[in-house]
Amino acid sequence: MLRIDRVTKRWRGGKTAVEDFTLEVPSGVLGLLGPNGAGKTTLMQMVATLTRPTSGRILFQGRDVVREPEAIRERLGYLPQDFGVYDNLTAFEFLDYVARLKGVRSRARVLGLLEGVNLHAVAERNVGTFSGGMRQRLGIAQALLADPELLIVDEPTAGLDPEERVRFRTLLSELGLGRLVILSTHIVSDVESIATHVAVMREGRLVAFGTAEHLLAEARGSAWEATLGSEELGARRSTLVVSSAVRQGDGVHVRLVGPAPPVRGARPVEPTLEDAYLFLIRRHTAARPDAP
Amino acid sequence: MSPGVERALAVAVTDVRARLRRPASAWLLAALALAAYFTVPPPSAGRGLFVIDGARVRYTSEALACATGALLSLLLPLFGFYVVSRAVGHDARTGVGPLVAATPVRRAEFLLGKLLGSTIILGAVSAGFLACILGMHLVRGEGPLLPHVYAVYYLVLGLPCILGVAAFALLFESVPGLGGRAGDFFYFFVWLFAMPLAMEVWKGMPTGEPGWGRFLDSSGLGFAIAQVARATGSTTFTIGATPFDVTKAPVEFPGLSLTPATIAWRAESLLLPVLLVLAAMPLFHRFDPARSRPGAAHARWSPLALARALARPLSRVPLAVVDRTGFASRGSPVLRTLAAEVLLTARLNPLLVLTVAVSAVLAAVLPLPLLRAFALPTLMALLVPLLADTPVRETQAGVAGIVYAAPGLRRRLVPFKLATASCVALLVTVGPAVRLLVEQPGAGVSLVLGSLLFASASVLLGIATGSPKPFMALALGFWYVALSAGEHVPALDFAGWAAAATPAVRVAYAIAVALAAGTAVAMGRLQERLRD
Repeated sequence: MLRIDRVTKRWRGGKTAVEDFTLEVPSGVLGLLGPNGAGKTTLMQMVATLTRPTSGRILFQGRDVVREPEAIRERLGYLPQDFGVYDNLTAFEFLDYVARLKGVRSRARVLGLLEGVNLHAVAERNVGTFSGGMRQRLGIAQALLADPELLIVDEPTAGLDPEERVRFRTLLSELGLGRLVILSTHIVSDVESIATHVAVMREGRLVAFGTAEHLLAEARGSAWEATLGSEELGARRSTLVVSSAVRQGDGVHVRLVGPAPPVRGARPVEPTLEDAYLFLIRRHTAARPDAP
Repeated sequence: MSPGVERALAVAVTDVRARLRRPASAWLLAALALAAYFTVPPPSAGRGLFVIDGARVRYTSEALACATGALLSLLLPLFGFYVVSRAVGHDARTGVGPLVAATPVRRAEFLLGKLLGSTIILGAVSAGFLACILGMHLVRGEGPLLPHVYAVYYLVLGLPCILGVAAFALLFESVPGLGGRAGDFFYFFVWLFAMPLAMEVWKGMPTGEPGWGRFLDSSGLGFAIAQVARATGSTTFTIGATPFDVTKAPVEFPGLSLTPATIAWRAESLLLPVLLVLAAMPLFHRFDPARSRPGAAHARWSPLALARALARPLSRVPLAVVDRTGFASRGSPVLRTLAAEVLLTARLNPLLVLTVAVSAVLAAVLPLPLLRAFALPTLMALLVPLLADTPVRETQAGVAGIVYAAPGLRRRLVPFKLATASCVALLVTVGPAVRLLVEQPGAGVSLVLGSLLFASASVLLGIATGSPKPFMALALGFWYVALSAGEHVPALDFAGWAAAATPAVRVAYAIAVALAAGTAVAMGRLQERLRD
């Protein structure tokens, strides 16, 4: 469905945001994971036709996105990380505006989406009065307006409360049937539950790609559990890769990532996607000692 | 309707909606009503709107429509630009741009939508002005009110003018580096330069064919002047409240001769807006982050960016010295906050440090007449963009919540802004002011008062409208009028460059400074109360 072929993006100042990135993914939900500055946003901006790659090709359903951007824009839903709204328009007016730009003429569709994101009761209120979560839901609604075949969402759950987050994840999971959803995030749990494929990026490069099970298999034997005293954990924190830490009566129960037992008494455990992500990022860093 | 037209219309309608709901629109309407009131003075006051060879022209529909239409041709290209500029920049700043860029809307559709939006807004402004003039006709008219005469005159004079202004705004948005304050400042000089070009139309009239300038006269000013000359057979006339010879009987204005040929000349002036829009299309970034982000390669080559790049290293040394002395961290909390605000202004705009340094050098080396005639007008013009953002920068950068959380800052925001703007203005003019106070004290006092006037006006207009543009437009307009008046009108010598201001004029400017500052403080308190 989507093929990204040796794509590189260099900003004019010389900084390389994405380098020689190749990936092919069928329909479903693609979780794009990576630390801040990994190039996720730039990659998605290129797929969403906001900016052109310096080199390489991007094909969606066989059509070249770079050469024929209009062809994909008609089938695209995009929610950028730092999107905005006109504060002095109502929610309905704003959504209706984006609908017209996308060629959606049905008022019922606009109203239906407002209901779908639970904003129908405030449809006539100025967006300037909305909370962060309400704005985010409006952003999600605009991305879904044209019933897109390709949906790109960048950090979509930021600002949503836990209940809304679960609801949104379910929605994305449903949307992934028969179309492609690209979900960029650094919240691994968002990806864990819904992604059919996961791509891990670092420094503009693809570090790992596959199903969640595939990445978990790669990380097998690298996840550990141990119980440490608070002071010991504090002292060794800079040398350990801690995936999670829970304070309990007998000390701090930690999950650690590493090729060998990182502390004495560490027990091997089945890795989670969070462990696998940390393992893959560490492995990539170790392979490139000049990396920052 | 084709999808492209529908998308362009959606852009236009949303643009108009979003802009008309801003608080600045209410101020604009109030300003229009006020302008209309002063545009048509009562003849009993010894002034007429339209004077030909010293004789007052009777206030008929033809005379009022022609004269006010000509005034609109003069003023709309200046003030109208500031009303509609930064439409695309607003989309980029608010984050709506990337959403738009991911839709099928094409570059041309988006720009034409914005052009149409700006045209509708300027059309509404012109219609609002016309409505006020019609009201004034009912009060002071000396003949029947003929709405169709007004409609035709405004359409012929105004439509190309409106399209020209909207197209200029679009082009400035599209040229890298001219989409913001630099463009607002630079446009003022484009307007100044365009006026003589428009007058070129007059050459060859009323006897022959209009000159080549008609292609550049989208404002209609040259057309209006040429038509009035042709209709009256006189080249000595004034439009705008002017004293007339009371011994001469009022004359009747026969009206413009709107033949197919003259209409065709006017239509030819549409060529300029068309060319401007065509030039804007390939330059428009379509919210591509590689081209629209601050610091993107295209923007780095803009004149302002280059000047900033030059000024930045030069400003580092004096700012580092100030940091070393700990000046900004001593004294009372009020003084510390004020010092931090002034330093922030210098860091945000390194040109301030450069301007202060150049001003001091010029004050030391230039002969006094040259300092007054050349350096002072230049410094006062440069002061306008340096001050314009001061009262609104936190809101525009989206950091108001963080900054105003400082203890007591929100309550004292307007006094702080007044103090900051005054410090910035006085820093720029302190060198020449000291020299003048020693050698020509009256002019020195005027310069200090002029600096404070710009400072307080920037805060008042910024607080009232939430935008730096009204101050830019009004201050530069006033600067130009004062510069043109020179020493002939002492009342306009607000900054001492003409050394013509009388003590009474200086007192009047001191009162104006106090009134502007007081009104700004009162307005700030009112806004705070409404917010709470």
